[in-house]
Amino acid sequence: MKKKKNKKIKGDVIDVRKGEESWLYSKIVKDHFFNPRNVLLDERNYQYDGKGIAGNPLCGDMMALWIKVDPKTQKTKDCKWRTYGCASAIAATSMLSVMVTEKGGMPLKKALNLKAQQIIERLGGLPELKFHCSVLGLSALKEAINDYLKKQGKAKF
Amino acid sequence: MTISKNRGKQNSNTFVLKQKIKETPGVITLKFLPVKGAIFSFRPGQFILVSFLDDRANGKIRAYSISSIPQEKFLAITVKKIGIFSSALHNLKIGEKIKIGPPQGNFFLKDPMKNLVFLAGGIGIAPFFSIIKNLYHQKSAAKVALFYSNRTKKETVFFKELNKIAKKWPSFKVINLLTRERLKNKGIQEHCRLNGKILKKYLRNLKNKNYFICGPIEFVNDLWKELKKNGVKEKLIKTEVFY
Amino acid sequence: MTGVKYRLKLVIDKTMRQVYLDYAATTYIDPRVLQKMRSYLTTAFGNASSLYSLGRQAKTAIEKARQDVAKILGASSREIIFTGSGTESANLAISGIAKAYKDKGNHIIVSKIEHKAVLESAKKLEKDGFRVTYLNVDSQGIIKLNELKKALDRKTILVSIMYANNEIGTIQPISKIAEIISNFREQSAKRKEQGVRNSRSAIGDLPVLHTDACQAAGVLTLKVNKLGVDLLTLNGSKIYGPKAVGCLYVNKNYKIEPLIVGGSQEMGLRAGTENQALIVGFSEALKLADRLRDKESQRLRNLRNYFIKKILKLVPHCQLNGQPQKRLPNNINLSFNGIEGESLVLKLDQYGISSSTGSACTSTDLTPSHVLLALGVSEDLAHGSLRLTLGRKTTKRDLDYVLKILPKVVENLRKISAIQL
Repeated sequence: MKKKKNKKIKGDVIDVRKGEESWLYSKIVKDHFFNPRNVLLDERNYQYDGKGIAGNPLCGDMMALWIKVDPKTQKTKDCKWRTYGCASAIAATSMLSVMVTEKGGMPLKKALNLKAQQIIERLGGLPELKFHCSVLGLSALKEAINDYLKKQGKAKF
Repeated sequence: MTISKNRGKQNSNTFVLKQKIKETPGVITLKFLPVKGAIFSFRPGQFILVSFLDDRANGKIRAYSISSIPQEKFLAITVKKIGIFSSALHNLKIGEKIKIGPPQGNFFLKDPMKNLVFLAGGIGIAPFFSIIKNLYHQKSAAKVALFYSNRTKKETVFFKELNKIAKKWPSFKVINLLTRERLKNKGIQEHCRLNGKILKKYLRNLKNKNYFICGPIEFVNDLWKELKKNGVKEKLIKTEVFY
Repeated sequence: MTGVKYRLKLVIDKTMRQVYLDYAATTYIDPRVLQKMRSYLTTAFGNASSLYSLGRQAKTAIEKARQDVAKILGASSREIIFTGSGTESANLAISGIAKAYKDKGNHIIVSKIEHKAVLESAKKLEKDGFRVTYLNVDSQGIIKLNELKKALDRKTILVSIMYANNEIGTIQPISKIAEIISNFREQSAKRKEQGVRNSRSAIGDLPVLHTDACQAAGVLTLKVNKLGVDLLTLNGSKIYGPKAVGCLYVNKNYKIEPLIVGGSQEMGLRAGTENQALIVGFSEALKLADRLRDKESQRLRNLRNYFIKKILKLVPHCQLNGQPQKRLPNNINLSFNGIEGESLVLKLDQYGISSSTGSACTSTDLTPSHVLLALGVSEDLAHGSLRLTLGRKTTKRDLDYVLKILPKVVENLRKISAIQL
């Protein structure tokens, strides 16, 4: 009989009352904030397949996301971004860009079905107040994928 | 890159309020009709972006799940009074107009989905109400179990309507949970928080089912973890968070 | 991992400094103040209500502290109430007056840029049937005096305007406000005289004028007669004294209803065993701050102006929020286009610089600073605001360090921002 490994689910919504670590955010969030991955510094020279924007500076969070799609495998082979927002917003977009490009890329359908909970888990948790930061990143990704599909003349998912 | 302050207000239609129904103290259902044309087509479970024509909510836009089905005459949203925006919606008068954007979101059923488990926290029932009514209308063969968690019976929106559907539709089961009240009412099955134990009690086997979770942040995150802890695959879970 | 990690952390020369620039949030306890507190934290621990000598010793210390504070305010001892914080003093002032005079009227006037302690107290009273007028400020943060004149009516019992604002440092013309109120009272008294037999003097009449002076202590005069205020709030943690202690001045011609009951301490207006260590700490801190006032204000003003001049030159798309002159000498509040405040504060923290922001990171409804919004600052600029407040230990070297780091941090955040300027 196979023993089921009880997969320890890291990543929780951080509840300050429970007494989390002394820094405001998890180590992973801190890392992605101070060393963000896949930032697009110059969009003029970047050939992208789809672009998406989510959020609004008046609300305090805004993300722009660019993707490159492998035409054969229909996987996201590259994902670049820029974010105006707090540490959670920057870390969430950075982590999202890693998630859709690691292990050779992510099938578009899977990318569209990504859930905020999955990003939060990978980040090791986010304060409840910052939940919307992970949702915003997904919005931008969705728009980027639909932008690509539109250009291809394909129907949106 | 230009920043348009009107993002989200593009492609919006003007709708007029036709009916206002008080569901519970603090929750109302608003029923709208478009000023021009017909109601856009939508899939039960989707949401729409709402904004006011004037500045009463500081130009903010909010998302609300559609609680009506395409077969109904009106487009309905069910709103809980929490802050400035929802209060403004509660104060909307019959005949007043608002802007509603096209339906969005992927919190809907994909054919074919046979075994469905809906986990609703409080006002998270809104999209499920649309999905359930639609399945019932289509006389669907799907097996549906709704676990509906609320603090008190008074706050349980659509309590009567859901029980009515359950009576008429044998493959639809409602499990009502109350977390802050004990009632010896036939309609209430459990008096505790929704967790893996309760799910196993009623579903026995958690595998090979499609899960939909909708409610506040903590509710959705807790159940997401519970399901994964009990071996449910991520791709079988869809979430929608109200925040 | 695909993609290149973009390092936001700069490698600079190893002269990293700890620069605290959030004195408006709280201050350290001045060692001279701590020294005076010591015995009360150790040997002189008595309960001031006790009859024996250890108790009387505590009582004496508290009454001496009360006298000292009264002297600085130009008031009498019995007009000084010690509380547990500036927030508590503000709550006591607003609710205390409202409840005491609710049979005379139900209208309260506050400014839109008051501290939350005042605003929330007023909002709470609205639920109890009081009517609150929230006065607007101009784009520099100064109260619109005409609006105040128009707002005053026969039912007004309380006006509360903060002396100096904690976020943007704007100093209100309290004496002018007091004059407007005094004139209004005279008019009301004349009207009363025509109908009523007993004519009362202007003092003791309504509305009452309260000011939150927590940020003004140690910088501006606190003489209540000069200011013309009837109530005044102070707290210890902003004046190099201990936290968890404040005081409320209440002019003897007015009554207030206590918030905390259960003992006869503080003339029956604030029950609870007194903490003589904190009270002594507060009065010593206030005395010291008042003594250093002129010299320190000048020093800070020079440093502040130096910094503001430099930063506006070094960083493009940067603006100063609030009035440049009628401003606390230690307050700098800037908005940077295209970046968000919390990320700015956290990055500066990595370089040893402590600051704060008007961004929405701590509010539950995600709205940014109500003060900046009241000034007419747009929401995105409010989200991109940075507050630096100088203090006793701040040196020019500290500011030069910040002038080296801040522009680079802003530039880095702008590079990864979705908003390109």
